[in-house]
Amino acid sequence: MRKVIGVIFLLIQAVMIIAARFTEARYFCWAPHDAQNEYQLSVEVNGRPLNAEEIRKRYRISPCGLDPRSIAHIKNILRQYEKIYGQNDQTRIRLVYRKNGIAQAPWQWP
Amino acid sequence: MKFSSWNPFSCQAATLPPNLVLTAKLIFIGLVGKGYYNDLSDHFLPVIGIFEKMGPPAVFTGILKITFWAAGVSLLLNRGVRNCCLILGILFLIVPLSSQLSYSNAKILCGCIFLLIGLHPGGPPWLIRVQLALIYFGAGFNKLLEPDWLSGQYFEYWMHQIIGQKYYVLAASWFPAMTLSQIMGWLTITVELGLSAGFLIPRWYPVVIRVGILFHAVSVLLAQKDFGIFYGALMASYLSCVAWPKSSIVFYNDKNTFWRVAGAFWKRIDFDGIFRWRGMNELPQNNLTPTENLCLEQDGRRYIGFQASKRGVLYTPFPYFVLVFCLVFPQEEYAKYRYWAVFVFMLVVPLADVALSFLGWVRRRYFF
Repeated sequence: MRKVIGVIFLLIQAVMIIAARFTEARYFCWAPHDAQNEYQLSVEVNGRPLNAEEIRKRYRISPCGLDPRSIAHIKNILRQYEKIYGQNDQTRIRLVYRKNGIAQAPWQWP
Repeated sequence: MKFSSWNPFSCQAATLPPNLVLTAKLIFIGLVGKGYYNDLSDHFLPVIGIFEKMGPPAVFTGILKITFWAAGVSLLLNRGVRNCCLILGILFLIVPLSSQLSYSNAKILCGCIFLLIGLHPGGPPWLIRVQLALIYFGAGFNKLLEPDWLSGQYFEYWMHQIIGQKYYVLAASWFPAMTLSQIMGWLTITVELGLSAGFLIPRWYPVVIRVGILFHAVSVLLAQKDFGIFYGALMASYLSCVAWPKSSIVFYNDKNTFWRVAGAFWKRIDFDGIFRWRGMNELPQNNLTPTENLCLEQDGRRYIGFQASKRGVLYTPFPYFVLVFCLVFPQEEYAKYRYWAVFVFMLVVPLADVALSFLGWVRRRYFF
């Protein structure tokens, strides 16, 4: 039984490695440090811009910094927060980032 | 009925091989040393929605922390070792699933290794070996499909702009623009995919383990960080590729003071009584040169001199505990020295191996 569970667990990982190629996020596919994303976040809630501390408190991430994973990780955090906790707010988010030193098109919410 | 020892440095468990128990204990100590118990966050922004219904955040975090300490301490004290590993494995897989903020490859790695130790079905620990192969395959495969890794852009930016690695910058200046970064990118991909294949072929393990240790020592040294618990947990899980000896007899020169003291010390740190000690005169078929002071018989094979002491250290759990304490507990300002120490240590052992083998050959060839 233990062997069967172990094999299934490893097979799931093998599937995730392949499946991750079809998503922007690279979750559960052993892809650490595939990209260095330097990002800067600006957020406006109900017409009022949030300062750095307010952004940190709202999303529990730094308003600017470096993430050594796919930028989709940051996008997912912002998107999910707004869908779950920020439904009643009029929020505008702008994420500017550079992937491996190269500027990318900004991401915006909504 | 044999009872397991309460000694945390003992790695004898009724249900698991010593190298797997040692791996689990080293990872747990590493997690404590790196403060991961503070990083067991609540279910804020879960990857799987069901975690949102798991009660108040403080209660959720509290349960995770209590479980971490209870299972970890029981593991150290050799109580229900297999169950403790299963619990820790599930815990470290729950943590990244319960909060996107807690997602990290290091935690998932710990979860996978603990879980697979807990699921060890007996015989060689092939579940963990396949896990290692998958990790390297995933890492190499993902990089192979990233244009920035292939062009050298990733390495160029990482080394020059993010880390500011002065030795790398200096070395890169000797090559045309981007060339060294491109070489490093391709080398990383090649090594990772090579290691992935290597972990599936047991007869390659002596080479695979050495290449893996060197690869990670260089990456830690270049990055000047050990990526949380990732480096330590990965190195500890390499122990699953080591065939732990069933019997070990040490024959030593008990007439010589140095070897008597060394032997007494060694006996004291051998908490599991892995080695049985005999005087050199008890060695059967003693065809050694008179200057040999140490001989190790392990699973029917005989090792003398440096080879014997090296294997003695490698198959005694205690030095691994010392190593992990040295790596995880010192303050961050000493970090770069410990990375250098690890790197030098990695080179000293194989170089001493080659040098002493050569000296032994010269001595046998020309003097005896």
